[in-house]
Amino acid sequence: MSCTGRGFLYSLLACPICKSSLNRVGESLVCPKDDRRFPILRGIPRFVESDAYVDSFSFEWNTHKTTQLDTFRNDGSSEDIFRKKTGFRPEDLDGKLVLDAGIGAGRFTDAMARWGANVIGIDLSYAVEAAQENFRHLDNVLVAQADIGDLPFKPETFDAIVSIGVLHHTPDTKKYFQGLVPYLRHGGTIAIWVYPAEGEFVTRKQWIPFTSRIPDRMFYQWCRWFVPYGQRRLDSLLIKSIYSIFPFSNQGLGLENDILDTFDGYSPRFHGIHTPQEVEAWFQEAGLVDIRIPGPWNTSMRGVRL
Amino acid sequence: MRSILQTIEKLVSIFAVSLYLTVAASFLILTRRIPVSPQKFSRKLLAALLPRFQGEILELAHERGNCYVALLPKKLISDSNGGSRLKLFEDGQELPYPHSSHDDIRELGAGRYSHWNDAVYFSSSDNSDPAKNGKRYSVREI
Repeated sequence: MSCTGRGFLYSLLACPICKSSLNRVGESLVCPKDDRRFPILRGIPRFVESDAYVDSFSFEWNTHKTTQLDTFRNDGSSEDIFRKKTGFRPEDLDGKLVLDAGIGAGRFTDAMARWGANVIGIDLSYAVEAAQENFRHLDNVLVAQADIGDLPFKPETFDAIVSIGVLHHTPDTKKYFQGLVPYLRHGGTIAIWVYPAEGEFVTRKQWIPFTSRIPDRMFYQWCRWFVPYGQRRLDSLLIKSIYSIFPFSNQGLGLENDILDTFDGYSPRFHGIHTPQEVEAWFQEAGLVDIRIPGPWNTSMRGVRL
Repeated sequence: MRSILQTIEKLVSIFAVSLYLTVAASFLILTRRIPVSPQKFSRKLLAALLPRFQGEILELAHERGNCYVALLPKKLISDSNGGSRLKLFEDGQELPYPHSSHDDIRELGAGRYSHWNDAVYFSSSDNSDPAKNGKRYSVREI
């Protein structure tokens, strides 16, 4: 079988429980061992029954399907962030099989697909609907709805695994990170970025028990009002005071990005923050080598599986 | 009709979330879960909500070198407690260097000034004595 194309990517899917290869029967994938069925809905294989604890991501990525995708922004901002957070260059991933663990709407898959990688993007949330819409025309991308902690693949499947800004939104960042490593081929590279335990991330963590309880739609409407209001008045003492206790996004990537990013920063149920030493220790414990921080973010890290 | 209902829904969301976040913020500040001093924060917030101060400098004293000092109301936020919004004017013309270091004011002068604690430390534009040069000095928060 050719090692490219959507058919090839489908062939890599396995039962999350017993790891058997799946047979396609109509619009389902069926485990031959126990006859467990995984439906394919709107072109997306589903390995979970709901979006569990990540409903805010389902909301935000279906509201901002294309806001952060370079293809639609006509810039290279996400690719630039991807390079700096992972250290990957186009030639590193061209023709390689990559898992995007927590694809969201697909801002980083968008870059990797352009570089020629074969990407499987998974997400627990219904963000997969947005990602599928963005990549349905690409033969080198497959989107599936699955839990990072219960992946539908056989071990040692991927040449590279990336998970940028995702693992800290799981109930246990370290456990979910270490759960990814077995799916990497020997000699493959895993690159992650998690929230650092510093600055605004620390402040935001204090807010999470309050803000994550606000209904998504209400909080989003508030962000749509407040972010532009605050940005217009950044010099005023009132907004400076509010900013010091409630930092909101002002990334210079446009208002829509900042509304999305503010919502994204305060709405998830889990918001882990970690030190570089902590992240490095996870990599060491997982037996990874050539561990390094590839760019200016000190909690972005990559390592190679021996 | 539908758009009116949507607007009402939006306004209710904004109001309800703002109120909820205000209560949450008060809790986070008072319990020191967010690292800001409750006193400083409430002082800044109060200053932001009160009318901006303006007034003439009528009493001043020589400090050192080109530097003179005049007292200001205590309620104002200065550079020592969060970032002064004060501008100093000489005969109605804004002096050019706010937030200057006190040594620069003393040594270089030329209109440098600083709002620190409850006073403004300043120099005249030509380093003349502001008590005797016949010019009028005023301050205004912007």
